[in-house]
Amino acid sequence: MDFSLYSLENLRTLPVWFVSMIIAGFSSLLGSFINVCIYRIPLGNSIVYPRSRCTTCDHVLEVPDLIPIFSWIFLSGKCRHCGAKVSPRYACVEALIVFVWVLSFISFGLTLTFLITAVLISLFITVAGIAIYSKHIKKDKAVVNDKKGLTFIEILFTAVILAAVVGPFFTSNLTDRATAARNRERIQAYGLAREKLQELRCLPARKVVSDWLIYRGEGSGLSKNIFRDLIFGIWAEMDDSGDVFWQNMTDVFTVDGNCAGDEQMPPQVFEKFKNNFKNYYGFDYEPYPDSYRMFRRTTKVEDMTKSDNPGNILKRVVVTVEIKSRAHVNGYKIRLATYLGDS
Amino acid sequence: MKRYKAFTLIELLIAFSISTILLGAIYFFYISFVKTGNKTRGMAILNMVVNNKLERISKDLKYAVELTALYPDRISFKRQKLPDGELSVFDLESTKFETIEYSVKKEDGVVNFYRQSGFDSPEKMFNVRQCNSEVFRGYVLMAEREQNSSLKKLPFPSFRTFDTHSQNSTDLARIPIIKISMELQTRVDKIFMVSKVFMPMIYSRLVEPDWNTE
Repeated sequence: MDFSLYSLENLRTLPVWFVSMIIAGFSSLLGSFINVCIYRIPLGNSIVYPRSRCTTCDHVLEVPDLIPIFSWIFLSGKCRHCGAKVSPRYACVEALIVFVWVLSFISFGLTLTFLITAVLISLFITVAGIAIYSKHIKKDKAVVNDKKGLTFIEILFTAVILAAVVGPFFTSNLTDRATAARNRERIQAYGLAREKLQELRCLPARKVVSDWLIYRGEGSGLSKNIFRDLIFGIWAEMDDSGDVFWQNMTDVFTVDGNCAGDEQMPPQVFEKFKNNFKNYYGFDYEPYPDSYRMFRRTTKVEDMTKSDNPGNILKRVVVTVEIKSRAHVNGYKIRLATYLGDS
Repeated sequence: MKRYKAFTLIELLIAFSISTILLGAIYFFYISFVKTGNKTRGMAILNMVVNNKLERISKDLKYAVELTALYPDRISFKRQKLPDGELSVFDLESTKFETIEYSVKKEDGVVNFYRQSGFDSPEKMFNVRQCNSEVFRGYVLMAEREQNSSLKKLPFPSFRTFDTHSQNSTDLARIPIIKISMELQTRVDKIFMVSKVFMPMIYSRLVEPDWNTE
């Protein structure tokens, strides 16, 4: 079962405070609706049809009276028309709902867990509100219930209890499974990062350079990209721009040059890449199995040699493996760093 | 006419069918929970096995001073004997060595991983349903390097895959890096894991200046 909300991928790139504001706005409207439910359901009225009215003077409410939370604060808890006191319950419920939604967004991000948690808690607040409020209803306001059968509140109660009992089984099973999958991918990524570090230890430290220089063919025995007129897109841009390179490059390819992000390296470039790999590391490039396409591996080298002692070469190597898969929808990075030295 | 208070046949039928449907649903959920639970546990165990054992093999290989045999499913090497309780200290003066052998054997439909230390009897590490045929692969530092007195003058080292059929002893002595790939399959799960292990002591002996003119 795949519950990841891919369509929300673009929303995820927005800053957290901005999405929180949007969620706060919508959830305050929801809170307003829940207030209606709490007030009308115990009375047996329809929750949709008659427009909102003042409970005392029956005046139909207009826009300035209907802004969640703020209306209550700015009208200092009084009706605009008759001046009767409006219960702080309305503002409290709205604020509570906003608090719940924003808090669960902050703790879970834009995931299905967030949606389920927020909806269930809102439902619980509704049911609890109805239960508490129905005790305070004046007898004459209530419609006498002489019909047999289940009331709406009873059904809601049952649904919430059922959800509370069954829900944890679902989530615990699914989250355990997802955790195991994530764990596995991290172990594989760690293996990949270590592989690269161990390969680099076979090189004399003075020869160790960043991936970008190898791709551009800067170094003895490496060939430059002679296909620049033939290829387009990111594989050509990588030659010129370090940013594009570090964002897109990987050295984990399958047999046909397929790699992370469903990209395929153009065949000529792949051939050149394999040649450069052989010349630089000394190994033949061994393609990875298809399942390794979720990993993106890059190696950055920083020269730490002191200028007053250029004989003692010291380099800091950072291998980054990024995982992007179904278990890691938001991506995950493993960084292994080490120092390599020559004297 | 006397009315007996009792259930009618239709009421009973409805009650039966409802309870059957409910029981069926509960059974279905229960089975799927158990299945996911098993699968999850299988995954977690296999993850742990792969992680721990790879860590152990690479820790052993790190102190290797000499490879004695390398087959796709077996590797044996001489390793510096470490004092008890000190696992990560190089003692270059130490002359105590022990032989370690890792082997993968197919027995009774399961694949067993063994670790043998010295003359002790092999110790079983773990078993799986299936395993790839080539677990260990060695890379030989090419002989051209020997003609030069120093590694530093060469642009880059060059390796070729060790030929496990010939078991050439000259080549065997020149393997500083080993690739470990494990494609393990248990009853419920599969994992593919690739990594390499570098043996610093063998490498430093190989690239020591003028070592072959002595």
